Parts: sequence; structure tokens; C-alpha cells
Amino acid sequence: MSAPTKYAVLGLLSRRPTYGYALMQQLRRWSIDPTAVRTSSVYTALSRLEDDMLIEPRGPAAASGTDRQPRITYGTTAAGEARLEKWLATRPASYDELRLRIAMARPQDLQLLIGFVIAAEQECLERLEEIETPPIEALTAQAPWEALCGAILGTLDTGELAGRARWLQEARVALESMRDHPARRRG
Amino acid sequence: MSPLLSLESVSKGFWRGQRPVDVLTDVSLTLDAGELAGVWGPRSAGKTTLLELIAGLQDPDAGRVLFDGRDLATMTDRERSTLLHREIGIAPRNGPASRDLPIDRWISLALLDRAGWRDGLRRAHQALERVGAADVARAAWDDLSDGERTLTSIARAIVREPRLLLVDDPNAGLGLLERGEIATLLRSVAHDAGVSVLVTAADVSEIQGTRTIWSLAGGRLVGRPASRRADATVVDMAARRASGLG
Repeated sequence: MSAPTKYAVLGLLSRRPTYGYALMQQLRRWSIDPTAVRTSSVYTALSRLEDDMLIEPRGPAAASGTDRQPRITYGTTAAGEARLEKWLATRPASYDELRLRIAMARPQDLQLLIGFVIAAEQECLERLEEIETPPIEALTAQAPWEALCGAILGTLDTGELAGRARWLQEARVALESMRDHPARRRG
Repeated sequence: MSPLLSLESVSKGFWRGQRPVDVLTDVSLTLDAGELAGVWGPRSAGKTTLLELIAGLQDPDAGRVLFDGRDLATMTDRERSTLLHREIGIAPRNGPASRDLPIDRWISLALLDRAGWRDGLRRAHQALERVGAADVARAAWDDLSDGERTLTSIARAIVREPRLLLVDDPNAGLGLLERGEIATLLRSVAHDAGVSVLVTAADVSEIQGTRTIWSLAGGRLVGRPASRRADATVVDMAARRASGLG
């Protein structure tokens, strides 16, 4: 079980106590990288979190007729809330973790989130600055085979970074606008 | 070495009807001699306003713009005019007012204050050669492609041999190969002639290959913090010496 899955589950339970299958569905609905958050390991996450006393069973949910076994609803403990709070305030170590922070953040985490997004944007721009752009003639049909292949791969790398830079810029503007015009903030 | 250009916590706003609009908020940046930098952001992000503040065509509401260590706000109108004619080159987005004026004549007009007619024309041809657009010297602006317009605008700006070149959105509507051609040109203007170049673009992919990349959106500029910026100029000069060019 990955740490992102653990915190994704903890974060969702902090919002609203619920049961395993509902957690899996919520995680699927989010556009979170499936390699970072595995819906299949939600039950492993639940049992680990329970072992660590970060969550606790809140009793069986209303069982529907098709269920083989009663659903157990979980909620966070005070220790779980404290752990979540600490994790949210820790600077994300990867892009996937940043996405997870955004998914999990609460309105009071807005300023924290803006800081994370700006740091990620700076890092992304730095990486773009460091990329050596292939000479443009390498992208033409007359270029030697290997140069052409190398240049095509190079445009993939820069394309991915550019896409990330666009997303981070838009995320930053949206978050800053929420901060500067709080009247527009909903829910 | 102090930077050629610095913006220190610059803010600028406008009134749009009854509503105040913050165009730039607390923007800081520095540009060294010979550095090629790009600013990208969506429409209305304040890119053109940023260039106009740098050129002294507008004044900031707060903060300072320094060119070669001198605060633009302390300059007289005459000094600013000299700055704009001698030190800063802006690649014009619109061509000549007289639409049938040949491109070489239009470029040579930029030298009216310092060169005779014949000498001006000779230098205009050199500038067109430099940007790879010598073949359109006798053409009129309306007959040029978008790519040729960008190249000849750059020629018009560099013919005055500025220390800082500002190019607003040179790649609008251009394809990959034409963008590559313009990127190569701007790199060589920065590296070979030691001119600081600041270029804007609507998308980050259009300014790849610039040494420094800033993102401007929501009025705020984001980029590598000054403390983590490598001294691009020193590296380039060392590389040129090593290759026997310096």
C-alpha cells in the first residue's frame, strides 16, 4: 500500500465517515494517477490505519440486500486528524503528492496550497529552462534517423513539462483568485 | 555584475469603467546583459503592460524599474526618450503607417536620428541579412507572411543596436519551424551581440529554449528565484572563449 493511498483514505474519512467500497468509488472519480493511489488497496489502507489508531469503526452501515457482508463505516480519530493535518502541511515530494494535497485540502489550507503550487511551478519552469532544445533542423525529414528520433522524444519530454506548467499556472491563478475574492468561494 | 534591467516589486493597475483591475502585483525580475528570457501567460495577463513599464512608456503605481542601475522614475522626459531610442529596442507589432513603403526603407527610418539616408539603408540591409529576411527588402508589409513580419520587426529593432530588445508575442500564429527560426535568431542576438532579450508568448511551448522562463498570470510573476539563478552570461562567455569565439 502506498503512502498516497493511505492519506487519500484518511482525508476522505476526515470529510465524512464512510465505508470501503464508497471510498474506492470516490477515488476512482478523482483524476488521481492510478499508479499513485490504488483503489484496490483501499481495504489494506483501512486495516493499517485502524491498526495505527488513526481511524475507528463507527458501526455497520445500513446493509443493502445485495451485500454479502455488512459494510463497516469508518471515521477518523483525533490522532488521525492530527496526522492528516501534519501531512497536509508537509511540502509534497512529488507531483502526484501535490495533486493529492489539492484533492484533500480544506478551505483553511488555501494559503498553504498556493505556496505548494508556486513551488511546483518554479521547479517545473526550472526544468524547462534546463532542457536543451533540439536543433530545429533535427525535426525535418532530411535529418539523420537517430537525430530525428532523439528530437521526437525530446519534444515529448518538453511537451509533458509544458502541459504541467500550464496546469500549475491555471491552478495558481484559480487558488489566488479564491484567496483574493473570497466572496466567490463556494462550499 | 549588476543586472542590466531590474524590476523591484512593481505593481500596476487600471480602471476598467468603475472597477479597478490589478494588472501586475508585486512583480520582481532581473535581466543580465546577454540574457535571453521569456515571459508567458494567457491573454490580458499583463505581458504588454510589463514591456511598456520596462520601456518607460508607462509608470508603475508602486515599485521601481531600473535600467543599468538607474530608476526610470528619476529620469527626465528627454532622458527617457534617449533611453528608448538608444538603449531599448522594441520590435513593433504593426508595420509602417504607409503600407506600400518598402521594408528596407521602413527599417532605415529607425536610424533617421543618427545616420544619413544611404548609410541608413545600408545598415537596414545588414539588419535584414542578420535576421534572414534579406529577400523581402523591397517588399511591402502587407505582402509579408506572419513569420516574415516578425523577422523584419526584429530587424527594425536591432538596427539601432540596443542593449535590451523587447519582443511582444513574436510567435503568434506561427508553426513549429518558423518558431524555431525565430528562437535561433533571438538566441544568437543575445549570445553573439550580448543584447539582453525579453520575449513574451501566450504559451510556454513558444518560449522553450530561452535561458530564463517566467510565468505571468493573475498579475503575478513566477519563476526561478534570483537566489537559484545560474549566471547565464558567465557560462556563455566561458563557452565562447573555449570555442575560440570569445
